[in-house]
Amino acid sequence: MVRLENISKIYKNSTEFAVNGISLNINKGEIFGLLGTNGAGKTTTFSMLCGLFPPTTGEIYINKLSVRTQISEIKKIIGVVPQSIALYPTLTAKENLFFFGKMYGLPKNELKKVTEHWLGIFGLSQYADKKIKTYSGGMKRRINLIAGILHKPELLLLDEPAVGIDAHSRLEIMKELKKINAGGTTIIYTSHYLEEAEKFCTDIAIIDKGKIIIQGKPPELIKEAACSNLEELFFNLTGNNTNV
Amino acid sequence: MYKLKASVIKEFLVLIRDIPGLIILFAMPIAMIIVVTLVQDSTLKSISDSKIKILYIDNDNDILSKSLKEGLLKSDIFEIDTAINTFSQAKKEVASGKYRIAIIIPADATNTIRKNVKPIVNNIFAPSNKKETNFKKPEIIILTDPTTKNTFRQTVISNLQTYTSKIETQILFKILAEQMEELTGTTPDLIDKPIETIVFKEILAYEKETSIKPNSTQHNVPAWTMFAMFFIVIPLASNMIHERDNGSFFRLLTIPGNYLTVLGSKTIVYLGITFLQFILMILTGIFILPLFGLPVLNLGTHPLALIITALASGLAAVGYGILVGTITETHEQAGVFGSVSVIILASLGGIWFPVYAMPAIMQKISIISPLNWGLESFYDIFLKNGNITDILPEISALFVFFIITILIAYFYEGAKRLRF
Repeated sequence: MVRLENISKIYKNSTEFAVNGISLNINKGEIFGLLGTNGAGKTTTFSMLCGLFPPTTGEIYINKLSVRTQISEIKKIIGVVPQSIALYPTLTAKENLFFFGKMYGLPKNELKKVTEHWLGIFGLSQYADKKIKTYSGGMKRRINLIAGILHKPELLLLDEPAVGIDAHSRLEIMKELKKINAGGTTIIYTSHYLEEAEKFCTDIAIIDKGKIIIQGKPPELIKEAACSNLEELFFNLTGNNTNV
Repeated sequence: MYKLKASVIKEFLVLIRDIPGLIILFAMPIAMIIVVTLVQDSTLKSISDSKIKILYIDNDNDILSKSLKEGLLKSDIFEIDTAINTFSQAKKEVASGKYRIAIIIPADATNTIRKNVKPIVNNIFAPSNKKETNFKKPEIIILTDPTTKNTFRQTVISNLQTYTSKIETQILFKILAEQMEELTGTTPDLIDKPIETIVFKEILAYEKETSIKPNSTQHNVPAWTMFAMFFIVIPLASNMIHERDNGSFFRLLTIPGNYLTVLGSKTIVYLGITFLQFILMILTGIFILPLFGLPVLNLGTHPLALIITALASGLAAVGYGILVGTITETHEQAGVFGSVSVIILASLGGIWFPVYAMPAIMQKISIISPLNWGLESFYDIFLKNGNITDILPEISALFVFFIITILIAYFYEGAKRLRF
């Protein structure tokens, strides 16, 4: 479903690689975790996957479509959940979701149904008409997620979807993401919550200093490295878990 | 169209919930129109319409002083106060700023003129070596506040010279007539008749027939409407930066559709705001300014031309706001660059100070300001009854400005991401 071919990125006014020669194959139906410390290159890779800017070298393909040249087609099949709360704080949850849903081209009736559906799933129906700025962090995260899945994307790209919220809200979000994945949506997910990634992801890649240092299925990787969990494995590989 | 409509609704909701932004957009320009028009109007009136209070000390109490006083009162420019009657007191009052000017007519001034007439008449017939040259001249003292503008002083002195000259001539003719009566036994028909062989007729030169006179309202309403429209750069650029900062712009970039839809919706909503501003400013000029004793705004005779000018000016303002919102990175940058650039463009464009009163070089530079194009178009309609054909150059320039700013913003945004 997603193929990254030796992609690299050097930002303007920088001589260092933010991403350095990453190659990946992500199959349909996977929950793929892109893990690493802050500044490892996760968000740069994520941004290139979304087509926000092109890689300096290398190619990215989604459903065999080139991100560099066929981004308009790719945008129709992807859903993006940015790390920041990408919502309008002075609009209500419903107004935000209606706006983004309409921008995805969802017809009014269908949009009404899916909005109510997801608000119900995430326990936010009674807050639908409240402005986003009045929401708690966890509630904002949930609406941020719903805005990216309203149009039932084939590929869902999540950048730290549960960062900065309490364990309960995080668990709720991850549980729902599992259900979305079970419905056929491939998920690529960046995180530095390794325990969560271990439970949630079918496959992972750990990035350090712009390079992939290991990739595979979490149980197999842990077993091969004779570690007790992903966090230990990560620590052994990077030698630094202070930012994790 | 569906996406554009959704985007327009979103922009509208975001905007109407930004109360401070709305205050900047509507309340501030109305306040500025009222305040600046009042200030400019009173400044203009100080040398034309409103009466200047003059302290008048009459030590003559004869034809000269009485006629001079009457003349000053008749002119409708001056208001005479005779409460004080000594030089030292008058000097004190003027120095303290209570009066801008004091006029002191010396004692026996009329008699002195009378005494001068006979030798003057005799001089006409006397041989050149026997002409009387040693005349005693009455000295009228004018005390002025040193802070008073030279133009104001010149206005007063010029008026005084006109009246004294008239009165002098009248006295001269009167005495001359009396002397002629003594010689001929008949009274010549010269007395009390104004000696005016030339009259002045002032006609305001319009290209088309109109009765509208330019005044502070006719200048300030369109001027501050243009300023208010361009001040939209602050909330508009802020809206765009906020969208970038909170990530919703990032999300929009990952959604299928053209970036022009985003720009289009902003253009539609903010153009609507500029048009509302225009209507409010016009209503202020018609209904509110007269409540402060200011002249009522006259709209000319081509409302369609007026609407087109408002829309073209609004488009130019929105285009500029979008450009500033695109090229600036932070709220601080947008706030400082946006406001300072609009103030500079306003100054160049004749918003603060009419272009015709600027130095020649600045008058030439003023044409680079889009605010000037809009203002000139409003002037054409308000003051010259201009129609659509008359304003075509200005509205075309405003429209081209809008297209250029939008294109720069569009390509700059694309290039910005490629530059990463």
